[in-house]
Amino acid sequence: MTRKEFLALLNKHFDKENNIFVHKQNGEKISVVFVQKPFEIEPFEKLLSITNANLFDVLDIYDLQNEFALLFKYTDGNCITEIYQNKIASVADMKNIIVSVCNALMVLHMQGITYPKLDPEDVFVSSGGLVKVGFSWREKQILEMCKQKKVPKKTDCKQVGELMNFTLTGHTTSESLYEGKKIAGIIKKAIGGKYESVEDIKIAVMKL
Amino acid sequence: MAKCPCCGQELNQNQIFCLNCMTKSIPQKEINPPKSKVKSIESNIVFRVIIVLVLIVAIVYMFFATQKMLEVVKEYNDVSSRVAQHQLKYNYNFLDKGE
Repeated sequence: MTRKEFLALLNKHFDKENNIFVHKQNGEKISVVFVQKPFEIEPFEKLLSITNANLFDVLDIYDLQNEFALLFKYTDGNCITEIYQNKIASVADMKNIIVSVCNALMVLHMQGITYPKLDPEDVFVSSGGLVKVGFSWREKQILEMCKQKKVPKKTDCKQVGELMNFTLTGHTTSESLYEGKKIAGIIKKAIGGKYESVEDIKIAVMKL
Repeated sequence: MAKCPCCGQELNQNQIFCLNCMTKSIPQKEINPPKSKVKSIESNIVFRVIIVLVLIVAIVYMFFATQKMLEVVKEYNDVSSRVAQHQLKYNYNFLDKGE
């Protein structure tokens, strides 16, 4: 199937609004992303059978001539960077974000999938307050299958620490570290790679 | 060609999401590992061994049962011969008295 044929198929059932496709009958939204081949599609294929509230939902993958069309369920909301551009998060908000992100990462790790670089731009908060880990599509290769059989336990711990600091200060740890004693302790421990897994960070944050 | 389980719309090859009704049919994971041929052969062998053991037990039981039967028959024969002797003796006595 060519991109033209695929878009014709899509246009039959959807109206296009900016870059989002809105279903003609029930108004639900999907986003379509075209990625050029060669592309590591395996992690996305694995995610087809996974549904998690805190994780983006891959609806389908179309193998086109020179590219793949990835269909995602679209959720209204903004990324963390946009939300906390001019303000900082409360501790309760930070807890909600970090616990949700840890949940999503745990699901990915169980499938042997890793995020090469998780940024605040990849974390979205919907209008209903639901936190979802998604993509900002800055780079071509966004998800990777772990080369080993199991994902190393400490994977993504540093990024979660950075994310925690960003929500509370609006800066990276090298720019400005959060001052609260207990929380700063968790951030330092996460950045220093002293947590065994993201699950341990989640437990520590939940105890705050 | 595969069809959507919800609306019946024809789906493209390997597609799981229906563009018409927005249904995503998630392929179900098998909880139990698929049965391999080797496993079925193994279970067949076990089944055969059990049958052979049952047959051996049955034959041994039959053997002992026949032995016991022979003894019973032998005892019966002994008893019946003794009865016949008594009968003869009785008859003899009866005739001897001339009654």
